[in-house]
Amino acid sequence: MSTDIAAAGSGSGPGPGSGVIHDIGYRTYSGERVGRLGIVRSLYWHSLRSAWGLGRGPKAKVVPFLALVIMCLPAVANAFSVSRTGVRAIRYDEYMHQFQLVLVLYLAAVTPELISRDIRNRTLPLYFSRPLRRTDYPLAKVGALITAMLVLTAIPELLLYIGTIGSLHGGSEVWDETRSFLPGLELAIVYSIVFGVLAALLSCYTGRRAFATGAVAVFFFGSWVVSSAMVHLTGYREHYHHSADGSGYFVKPDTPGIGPKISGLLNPANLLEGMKEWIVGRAPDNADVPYPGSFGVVYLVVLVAVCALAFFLLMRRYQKASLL
Amino acid sequence: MATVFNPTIAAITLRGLLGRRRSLLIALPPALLLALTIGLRVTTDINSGRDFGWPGVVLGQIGLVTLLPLTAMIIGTSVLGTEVDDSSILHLLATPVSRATVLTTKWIVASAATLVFAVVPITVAAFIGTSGYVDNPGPFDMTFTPVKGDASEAIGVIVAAAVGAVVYSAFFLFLSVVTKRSVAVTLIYILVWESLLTRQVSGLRLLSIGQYELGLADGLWDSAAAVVPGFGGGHLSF
Repeated sequence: MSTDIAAAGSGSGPGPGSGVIHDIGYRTYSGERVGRLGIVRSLYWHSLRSAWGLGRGPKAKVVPFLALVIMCLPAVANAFSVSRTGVRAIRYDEYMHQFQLVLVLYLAAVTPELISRDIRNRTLPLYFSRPLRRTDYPLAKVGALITAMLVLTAIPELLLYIGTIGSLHGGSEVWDETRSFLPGLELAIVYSIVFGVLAALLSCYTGRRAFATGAVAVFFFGSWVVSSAMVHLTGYREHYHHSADGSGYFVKPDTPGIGPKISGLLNPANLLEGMKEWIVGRAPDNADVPYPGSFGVVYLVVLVAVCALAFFLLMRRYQKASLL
Repeated sequence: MATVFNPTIAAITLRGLLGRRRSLLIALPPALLLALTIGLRVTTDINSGRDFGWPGVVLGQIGLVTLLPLTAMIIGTSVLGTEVDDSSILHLLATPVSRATVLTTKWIVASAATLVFAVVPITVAAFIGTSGYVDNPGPFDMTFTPVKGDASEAIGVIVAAAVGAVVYSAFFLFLSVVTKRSVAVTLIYILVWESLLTRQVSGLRLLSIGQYELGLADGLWDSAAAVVPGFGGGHLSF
């Protein structure tokens, strides 16, 4: 190198045979190249880690782990109450719906980190200049988000299960418990997928983190309040039931009519709750969403349609050149 | 503190606040509230004995407890937060304007914007929802104390919403000063503290702005309706 500089500095022309004017020492990469699959895999892994704040500062870990602790509190309380008194604190199939606000909080904090930051910092051109297809990027991101959500949803269910079987006696009791635990686990998976895809779609339209956080929170929380209020207002509310002996109790109607069933479609969590009741075949007492009966098909169709549409829009968003 | 309000800073803040897409995000929820109120008003017969007072649910649960804090969150965290985000706050702080003036100006702008985008729609909804009642004998199944359909209820809700807008704006502005990720922290407050924990642990009501509002609305309404026995107490919650 030094000889080149000396040659250039002396003013004499390059000698015959030396085609290189400056050799400043750049080296080409001669190692193994991972290719498209490898890029997707490492993008997925990196996103999954950053969704839990791993590999980032302590501040990035606050919201995810706070959400996880809050989600696990009922399961821990259940373990104590089952072992002391035999009373269950919470059921497997009502867990996600009861604590959906924690899921919303997690998504509102984490999804913009995964998706909006790359738009804001204009790193997407760097990704797409690699052998990565346009659909690979959102697939990896959504996959990472769903997996990260699974950690948040499945661990509490698992804790609830472990905490309960610790106080059970005999194989048949454990088997019965396992059979009621598995639907809870399935519900955790479904919640992760539906919430994850919808939150990713809401975040991919803006590069501003605060903006995306607001959109996710307003969508999930606002639609939940409106949907629950509409279920209530259209007739599915507690009324006083008079018994023959003069006493009575408060109960929600058995046949609520079509209004509350349609109102339940307005929010992802209520939609999932109604679909769960339809699949199980009955609603718990004083459920938040009425038992849909034959209307349950509509719940399933709407759920599949909403998820498919959200997925399609997300994929289409990353086809646009304007994103770069 | 020389001045409380600086019109130039207020103008800059307003321009940043009412950008193209953000104003859409802010204006959508109040539009939903009004549509819901008008829809219910048209489809239900409010003077029938079987009516159970939907205005209480719509104004209380949707208006005061959801629309107001979410609107205050978007506005309160962005009057200062966006400038911190893109570092233009440095230019503002380099001017010979005291920081107290900057903050109070931003608080006033945030309160005013929240009043316009949340309290005005709630006011309109309150009048739409409660006008035209004759005195309601109450539902037959005794599940709900009916909303007394006169201006006393509407005024309680409006005063509570206005006070709530100012208090929420101050609190969320405070959060955006002391934390970097103010939207996330604000969300923790709204979703986890006010919605989830307050519902499970009733003692936390003493430390919740939303519950202050509901108490204020109910209290004003009770004092107005005190001469009518059987009204009052917890109308605005489920």
